[in-house]
Amino acid sequence: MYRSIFKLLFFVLLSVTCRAQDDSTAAEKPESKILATQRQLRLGVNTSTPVINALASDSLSKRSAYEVTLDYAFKNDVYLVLEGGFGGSTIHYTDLKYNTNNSYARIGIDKSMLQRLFPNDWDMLFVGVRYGIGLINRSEATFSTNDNFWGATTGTIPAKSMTAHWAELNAGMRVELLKHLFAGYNIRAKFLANDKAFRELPPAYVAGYGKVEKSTVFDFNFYLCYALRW
Amino acid sequence: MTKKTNYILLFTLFIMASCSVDRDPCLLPKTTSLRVGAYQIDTSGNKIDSVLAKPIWIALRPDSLIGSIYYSSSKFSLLLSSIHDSCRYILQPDSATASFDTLTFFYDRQLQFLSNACGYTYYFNLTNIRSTYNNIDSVKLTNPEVNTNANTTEHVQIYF
Repeated sequence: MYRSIFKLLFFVLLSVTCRAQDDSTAAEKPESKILATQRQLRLGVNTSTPVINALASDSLSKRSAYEVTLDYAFKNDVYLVLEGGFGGSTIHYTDLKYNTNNSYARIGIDKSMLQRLFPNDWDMLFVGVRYGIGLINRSEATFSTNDNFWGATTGTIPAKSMTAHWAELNAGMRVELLKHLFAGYNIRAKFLANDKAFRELPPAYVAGYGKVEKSTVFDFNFYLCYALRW
Repeated sequence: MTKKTNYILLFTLFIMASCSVDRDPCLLPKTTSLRVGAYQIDTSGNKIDSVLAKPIWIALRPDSLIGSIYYSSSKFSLLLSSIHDSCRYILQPDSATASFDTLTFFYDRQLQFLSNACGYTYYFNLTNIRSTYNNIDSVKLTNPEVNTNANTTEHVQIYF
C-alpha cells in the first residue's frame, strides 16, 4: 500500500513538473493572472472506495463506504470543500465478531496549484487540508480465546458509541473530461486526533477514516464530479 | 498535459490504488506464560541457578493431567488457566525420584484486547502461591504481572 502511495506522489510531482514547464514558457510573456468569470459549485461521488471495499471484502470481513463531495470556488484558486458519507463493517473472524456503522463529515479547503489557461479552465492540481469527524456505533462484540491447554473462553464486549476526530493533508487533481464533468483523485494522509478513545476494541474499519487502530492512515479516492456554473 | 495524458494518468492511478490488503496478520504475541526459575543457596549464601536433572511439571486439569518433561533446566514457562482464578501444578524435580511438590497459583484475570488481527487474550496478576515442601525450600513471588511481555523479570522463584 505504501509503495502505491509513493507511486501516486511521484505521479503528482511529475504532473506538477509537466505543468510547471508549460508555465515557464508562458511566463516569458508578461501576462496578468487569468480570473474565472463564473462561479462554480462541484458535486462529486467517490467511486473508488465502494469498488475497493467490494474487492477487499470476504466472508470474514465486510466493509462499506459511500461518499459525496461538494466544493465551491470562493476565491479564484481556493475551494471550500464539504465531504460526507456513511458506511460500516462486519467482522466475522473465528475469535472476534461484531458490526459497526458510522457516518462522517469533513470540511476543509483546497488550493489549486495551477494557473488558469483561460477563464473557464477549472482543471486543478491541488493541495488541501481537512477536519474530519465520524460518529461510530459498534454492536456488542463476541470474542473467544484459543487455549488448547486449559480450555478456550468466550465472552461479550458491550456495544459502544464513539466519535473519531481527525485531520487530513490532501493532494490531488480534477480534470474536466467533458463539459461540466470532472474526474480526479485525492491522496489523503489522515491523522487521528483521539486515538486513546479507541483502545478498547477499536472498529476494524471506519468509513471516511479507515482503520482507527492506526493513528496515521493513507488513502486514495477517485471522484466523478459534475460542476454547476452561473 | 494533454487530455490523453490525463486519461492515462487517472486510469493508472485508479488501478494502482485498487490493490488492497484486508486483514492484517497477527504480529503480537498472544500467549501469556508464567516464567519460573529454580534456585538454591550455596554454602556462601549466594543465590545460584538450580539446574534440575530431569524435572516434570504436571498440570492438574479438572478432567486430566498434562505433563511436561524438561531436560537439565532451571527455567520454566507455565500456562495459567484463563477459565479459573487459580491453577495447580505438580513439580517432580527429578523424574527418577518419586518425590514431588504441588504448587497452586492464585491470580486475578484481566481480559486484554490486543488488536483486531489478534483478538483478545488474558493477562494475570498473581496474588498468592501455595506449595508443599517435600523438595522445595521456599517459593518467592517476584513479579506478579503475567502478560505477553517476555522481557520482564521472571514471576516466581523456587528455592531447593
